[in-house]
Amino acid sequence: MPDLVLGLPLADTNFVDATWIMIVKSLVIFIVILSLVPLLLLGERKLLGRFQQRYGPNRVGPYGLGQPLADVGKLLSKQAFRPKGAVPFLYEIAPALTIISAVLTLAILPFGDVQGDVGFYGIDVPIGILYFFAFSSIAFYGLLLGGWASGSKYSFLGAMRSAAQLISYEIAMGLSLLGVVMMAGSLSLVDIVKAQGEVWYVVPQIVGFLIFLVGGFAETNRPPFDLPEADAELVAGYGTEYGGMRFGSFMFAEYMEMLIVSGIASTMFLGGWMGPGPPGLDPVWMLLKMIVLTIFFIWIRATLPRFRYDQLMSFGWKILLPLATLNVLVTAVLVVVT
Amino acid sequence: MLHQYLPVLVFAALGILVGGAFATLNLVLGPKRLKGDESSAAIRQMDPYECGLPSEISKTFRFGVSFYLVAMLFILFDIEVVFLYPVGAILKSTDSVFVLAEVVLFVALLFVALIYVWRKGALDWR
Amino acid sequence: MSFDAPTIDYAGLSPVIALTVGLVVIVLAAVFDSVRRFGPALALLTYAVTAGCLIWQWNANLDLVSGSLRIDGLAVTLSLLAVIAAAVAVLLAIGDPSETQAGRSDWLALLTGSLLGMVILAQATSMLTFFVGLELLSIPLYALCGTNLRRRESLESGLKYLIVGSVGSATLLYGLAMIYGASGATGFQAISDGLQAGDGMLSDSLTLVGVGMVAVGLAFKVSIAPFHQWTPDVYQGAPTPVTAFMAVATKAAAFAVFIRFFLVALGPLADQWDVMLAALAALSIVVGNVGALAQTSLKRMLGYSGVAQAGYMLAGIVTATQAGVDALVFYLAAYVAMNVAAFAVVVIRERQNGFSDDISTLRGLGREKPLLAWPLTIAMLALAGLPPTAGFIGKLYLIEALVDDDWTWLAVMIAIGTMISLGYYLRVVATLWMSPAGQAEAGAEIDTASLPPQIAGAQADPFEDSRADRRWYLVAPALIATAAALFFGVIPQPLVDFAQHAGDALSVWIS
Repeated sequence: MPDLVLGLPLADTNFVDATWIMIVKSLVIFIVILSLVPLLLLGERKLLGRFQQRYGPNRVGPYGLGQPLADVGKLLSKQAFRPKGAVPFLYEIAPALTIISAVLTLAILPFGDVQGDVGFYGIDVPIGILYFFAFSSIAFYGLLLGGWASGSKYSFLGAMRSAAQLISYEIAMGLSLLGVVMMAGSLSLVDIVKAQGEVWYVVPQIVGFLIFLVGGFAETNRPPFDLPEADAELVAGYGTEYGGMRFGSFMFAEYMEMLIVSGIASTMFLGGWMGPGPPGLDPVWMLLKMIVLTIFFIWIRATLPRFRYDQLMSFGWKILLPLATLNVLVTAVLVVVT
Repeated sequence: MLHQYLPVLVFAALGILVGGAFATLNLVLGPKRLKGDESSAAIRQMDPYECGLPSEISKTFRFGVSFYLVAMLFILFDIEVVFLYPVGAILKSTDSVFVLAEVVLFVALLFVALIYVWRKGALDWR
Repeated sequence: MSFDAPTIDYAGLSPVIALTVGLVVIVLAAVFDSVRRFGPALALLTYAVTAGCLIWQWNANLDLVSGSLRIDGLAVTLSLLAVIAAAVAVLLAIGDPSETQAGRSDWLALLTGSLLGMVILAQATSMLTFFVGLELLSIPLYALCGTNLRRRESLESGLKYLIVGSVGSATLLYGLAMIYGASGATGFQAISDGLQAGDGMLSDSLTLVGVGMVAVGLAFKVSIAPFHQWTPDVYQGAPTPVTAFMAVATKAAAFAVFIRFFLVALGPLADQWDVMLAALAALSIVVGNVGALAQTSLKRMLGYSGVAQAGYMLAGIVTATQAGVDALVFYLAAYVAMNVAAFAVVVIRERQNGFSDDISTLRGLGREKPLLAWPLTIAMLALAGLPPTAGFIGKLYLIEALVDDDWTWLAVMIAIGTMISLGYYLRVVATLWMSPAGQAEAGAEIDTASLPPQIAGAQADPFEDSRADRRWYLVAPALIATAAALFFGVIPQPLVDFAQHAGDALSVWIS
C-alpha cells in the first residue's frame, strides 16, 4: 500500500533547465514584476481618480507618468528613525520580511510551458501550490512584527487585526484551491494550466474562484478588507510608526502580493498563459490576465465600503469556510463519480 | 532533484537585496537628524503617534484572549487543509470510492468540530 | 494507475469505531439544547455498545491497521475494565458540580475522548499508536480535572496534572525516539527483532537510556514512586467522579501498554529492566503506604494508596511470566471493584457534607447509614488485602507469581506493605463504626434561617444534596462494586479465567 501511494506521480516535473538559464529567467521574472509595481501604483491612483470624478496625478511628467519615481525619490530622502519604545532590529527587519516573502512567492508563477530549453516559470516543483501558501504566509510575520515592534497602540491594534484576519482567511483560501487540485490531479501549477485545455476551471469551480478572490482581498489587506491599516481609525495600522522607504516596503509588498494573488487566480482558474496566438505570446497573456484581475482589485476598492471587524471574522469563519468545505466535498464526489 | 529549487535561492537573494536596501537606504540617503532646536522637535519626533495627546509608551502589549482562540482554530482547520492536499492530488488518478470515503469522513469529522465551536460561540468576535 | 483499497477488519476495529461515533454524537449533543440532557444516556449507550463490541471480539487475536493495533485478550479485558470505570464515572457525575458547570455533554465528551484513548492504548502495538493513544487519554483528563470551575483546588489540580503529565509524555517520547534509533522500527514486534538483529544493541547505552526513559514516562502515568508526587494533589483537587475514573481506568490502560511494550518490544531485554522495575515497585510500595498513613483527606489517602497499589501491580510485570500478567490483570480487575466502591461512597458523602472529604466526616456513619458504611468498609478491607475479598486473592496471586520466579524479596515487600497499609485502611473502618456520631466541624455550621435571604441563598451550595444516599445512580455502583469485590473473593474462578484470557494473548512472547 505505501509503495503504491509513493509511486503515484504527484506532478510530472522532471524538466530541469541549465543552471545559467535558471538564474537568468529568475532575474527576468523579478525585473518584469518589479517594474510593474510602480506602474500599478500610478494606475491605481489614476483609476481611483476617474472613479471619483477626479484627474488623479497629472503633474509629474506627461499624464503624471513620473509620479511613481517622484514618490520613491521623496520616500528615499526621508530621515531614518526609530520611535521611542520600538524594539530594535525587529522594527527594522519587519518591512524587509514582507518584501522577501513577496519576492520568494514570485518564483511559483508560471508564464508559459517548457519551450525549447527554457521553462517559462521560476520553479515547477511537485509541491507546487503549497509553495505559494508557505511563502506568502511569511508576509504575516512582517506585518505582525512591524506592528508589535513599533511600540505604539495603533500599530499594535493593526498587527492584531492583521494576524487574526490573515489566518482566518487563509483556511478558506486553501480550501478554495483544493477543488482545482482535485480536478487537475496535480499540485504543479504548470500541470494545472495544461489541464485547462478544454475548459478553464473558472466554469466548474466558480465557487472556488469567488472564495479565492475574496480570500485574496483579505490576504493582501486590500479594501474592503483593509482593517489592519484602516486609515480612518488606525492611521495606517501596523505602518503608523514607519517612515521613508520602510513604509514604502509595506506598500511595495502589498502591490506585489496583489499581482501574485492575481497570478495564482489566473493560473488556477483562468487558464494561465493560454490564449490565442503563437506560444511566444504565452507570457503576455499571463501578464494581461494578471493585470485585468489587479484592475478588478482596484475597482473593488473604489466601490465597496470597509467591513466592520466582527462582520469580517464571521464572514470568514461562518460563510467562506463552510462554503469552501462543501465545494471540496462536491468536487471530490464529482471527480470520483465521473 | 533539489537542483530544480535553485531559482528559489535566486529569488531569496533578490528579496533580501531589495528588502535590505529599502530598510537601510534611508540611513544613507536621508538627513541624519532634524535641524534646529534639539530639545523639542527632534525629541518629539521619536514619540509614538498619538493625535496630539501626550504619547503613551508601552512595550508590554498583550494579545487579547480572542486572538488565541482564533489562532487555535486556525491550527485545527489549517491542518485539515494541509492533510487534504496530498489526498486531493491523487484522488483523480486513484479513482477509488475508498479514497473518496476517506476524504468525506475526514471532512465530516472536522465539520463536527466546526459546528461545535460555532454553536459554542467561539466564532463570534468579542 | 490502479488503486486497491486496503482491506480493513471492521469487526476488529468495532470498539474503536463505536466509541468514535459515540464521541461525535455526544459532542454534537453538547451544542443542541434539545438533546443536551440526554448526554448521560448517550454516553452510557456508547459504552454499552463498545462493551458489546469488545465481548463480541473476545476470542479475536489479530493485527489491525497494518500492525498498528492488535485486538487480543489483553486488549479486550483491559478495555472492558476501562469502559466499566467510565460508565461508573458517568453515573457518579450526574448532578455533580463539575459536570453541570462544564456543560453536561462537554464533560461527557471529554470523558469519552479519554476512554477512546484508553481503548487505543490497550490495543497499541506500534510506538505511534502508543503515543497517540496516550495523549488522547491524557489531554481530556487534564481538562476534566479542572472542570469544577468554582473550586480553586480543581483548577490547581488540572494545571498540575497538565504540567506533570506533559513532562511524563515528553520523557516517554524521548525514550521512544531512542529505542527507534536503536532498533530502527516502530512496531513492537519489529523493535524486538531489530534489537536482537543489531550488533550489541541489547546492551547499547542508547537502548538502555531509551528503556529507562520509557519506564519513567509510564511511571508518571500510572503514578509509581518516585514519579508520584502529583497523585495526591490531583486526586484531591479533581472532581471525585473524575478521580474515580482516573484512578482505575488510566491504570488499566497504561498497564496494558506497559505489559505489551516491555514484554513484547523489550522482551529480549528482560534481564536488564526487571531489576529496575522491581526497584521502582518496591519504592512505590514503601512510599505509597507510608505516605498514606498521615492523610486526613479520604481522597488524598486513596491517592497514596493508589501509588502503593501501582507498586503491587508493577511487580506482576517484573516477573515477565504469564503468571505475572495473569496476576496483574486479576489485581487490576479487583482494584476497579474496590476503588469504585470507595469513591462512590466518597461522592455521596461529599454531596451531603458540603464537599468535604475529610475522614472525620465519616464518624458514626456505620450506625446512621449502614448502607453507605458497608461498601466503604469492604472496599477498605479489600484494598488492604484481607480475606474474603478479591483484593486478598489478587495479592495471593501476585505473591505466588513472584515467588515462582525467584522474586521472593519483592513478595516480602508486598507483605510488608500490606501490613503498613492496615494502619490507614483500618483507621477509616474504625472511624466508620467506632466513633460516635458528632459534628465534625461545629464552627462551620451557620444558622441560615436567621440571615437575610440573599446571604442565606449564598450559603446554600446548589449542588449539595441531602438525599444523595438514596439516589440509585450513586448507590447502585457502590453496592454492585462491593458485591463484586466480595463475590470474586469467595468464588475467584470467573475472574481468574478473565485474567488468564489476557495472559494467554501474550503466550507467544512469554512463558
